[in-house]
Amino acid sequence: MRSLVLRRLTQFIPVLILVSLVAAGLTELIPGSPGQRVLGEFATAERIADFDAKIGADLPFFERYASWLGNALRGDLGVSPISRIGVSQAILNTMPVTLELAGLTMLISLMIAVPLAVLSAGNEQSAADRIITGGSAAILAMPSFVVAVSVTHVIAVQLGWVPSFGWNRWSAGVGAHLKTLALPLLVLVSVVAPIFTRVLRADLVATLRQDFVLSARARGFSDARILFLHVLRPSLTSLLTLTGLVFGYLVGGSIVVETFFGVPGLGQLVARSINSKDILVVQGIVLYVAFAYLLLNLLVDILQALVDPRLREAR
Amino acid sequence: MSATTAAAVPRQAKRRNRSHRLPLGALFGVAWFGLMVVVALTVQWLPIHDIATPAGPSNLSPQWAREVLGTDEVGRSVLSRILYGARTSLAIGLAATLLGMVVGGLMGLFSVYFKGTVSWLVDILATTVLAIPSLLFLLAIVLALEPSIPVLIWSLSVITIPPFMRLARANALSQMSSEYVEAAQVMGASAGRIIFKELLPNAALPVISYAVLVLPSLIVVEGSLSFLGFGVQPPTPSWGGMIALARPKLTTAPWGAFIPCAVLFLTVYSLNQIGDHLRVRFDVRDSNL
Repeated sequence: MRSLVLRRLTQFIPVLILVSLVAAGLTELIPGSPGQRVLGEFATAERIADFDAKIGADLPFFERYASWLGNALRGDLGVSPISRIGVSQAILNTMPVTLELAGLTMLISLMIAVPLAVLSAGNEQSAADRIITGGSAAILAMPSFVVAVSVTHVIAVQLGWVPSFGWNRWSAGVGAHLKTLALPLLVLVSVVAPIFTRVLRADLVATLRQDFVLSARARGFSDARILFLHVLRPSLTSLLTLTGLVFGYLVGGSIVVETFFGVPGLGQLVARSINSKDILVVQGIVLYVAFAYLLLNLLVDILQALVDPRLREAR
Repeated sequence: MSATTAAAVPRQAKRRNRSHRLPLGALFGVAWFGLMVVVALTVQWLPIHDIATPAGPSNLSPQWAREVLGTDEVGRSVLSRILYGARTSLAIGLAATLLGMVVGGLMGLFSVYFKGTVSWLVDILATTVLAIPSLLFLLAIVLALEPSIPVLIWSLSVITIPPFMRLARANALSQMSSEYVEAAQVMGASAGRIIFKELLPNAALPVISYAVLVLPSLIVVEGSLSFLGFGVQPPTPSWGGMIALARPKLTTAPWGAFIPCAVLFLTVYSLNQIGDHLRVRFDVRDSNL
């Protein structure tokens, strides 16, 4: 167990350094200095030089990189020269909304996927299995923005149950909050739940072919008991690996979904910053999201070793 | 996989092919995707309206006699834009997939052959790419460089490198200890010979069949970028861009958004079906993609 964590950590730190270099390197790709971009093309050369000197943009790359990373490690990502907001503060303000959406998406997707996968794998080749695998394959082929356009048209425009755009915070009342939460959540679940169902079904089918299942059947255990108590746990490996990867999907997906439905989360902050070429915000988000991703995957690895003792030694 | 079973695999697959028909989904997939490829290749000779000039009044509903799929909000033919959009989406998707497959596949093979530091370095690079969510990575690239089609192609290919690399490595790893690689090494074969003549042929099939699944995912990512307005730039037609353009008119002219949605869905579904079929056939070993 300890060696597993240690091995992961020898990857963790170099990867984090590389990510921070990639993020910092973005500035180098943009033509022109920050002063030129913020003050516009009619600014005098002295004013541009003054502006660059004030925010330290005239220093060599590695000096800027070191001070940016040093401050980032202390939780300070600087103040954006474009939107004049503190980057760390902006991330902290928008994070809870995105985390709420992501957490609920994971929870609901698991609540849908686990029973469906068990039903499907337990009755392989039956009508139910065909409907579940066929249905998840079809939903899987729908990009998030296609689902967003469709559900908005049907649920918000035709049926008029929920608003098609906007966001009510919890303070506006639970009902109002849930109404604006429903559509974004539906879209994200439609992306994640079919992936979970497919992967878990495949693993369950493989586990069901093993000898210990046959011996459990021979001892007269019921199908439900075998499925839930014997087969589910050893089949969770891929699903757990996937939760780490789905986190990445959810951050990417939240960019589309939050701009589409006007949800004031991290995804909207990304889209807005890209639009206004606010690179400092994007750099900060890349760094923090990558850090969260690595931490989450480390956690998943540990969790996997707990679920499956075979993994504690191997790999 | 030992040398003997490796040689037996293609023969077995052929036999299986004869006894089992192509599944219905894959059959449909081949037909639809084939149609899209033909359209993408021949679109400039097809008898359709020009994409730049209006074909009729704006927001014309689909009519068989006038405009089969209607017109968009400036009166351009939706049919023409869908067909030209097929060329954009497929060209970007295919180019990026091929680039990612070659670079990622070779990285995988090299890391198997050279082990040690090379393998560690390749792993670190792959994890770095994986740690940044792909859409966020692409948007950051697009923010720094303008979203031209070459920039889209290489940045899309970068996000496919880690899975291709891991797949090639998983398939080549077992061969490194096989008798035929050992025999080649004893004969004094160079690194290049072992990588390209011994490891590559056996890793190629699973990697190529996996590429069929990467292509639709890249079409979706390109669609998302264009939908957000950061991908293919107008006036070049793209399916994601068409959906974004038609979105404000969803109440009065829903077909403008639904037609590109349906075409995108059918294309992704087709490729997924073909890819799933190939994957089962060539036994792709999934390695924590």
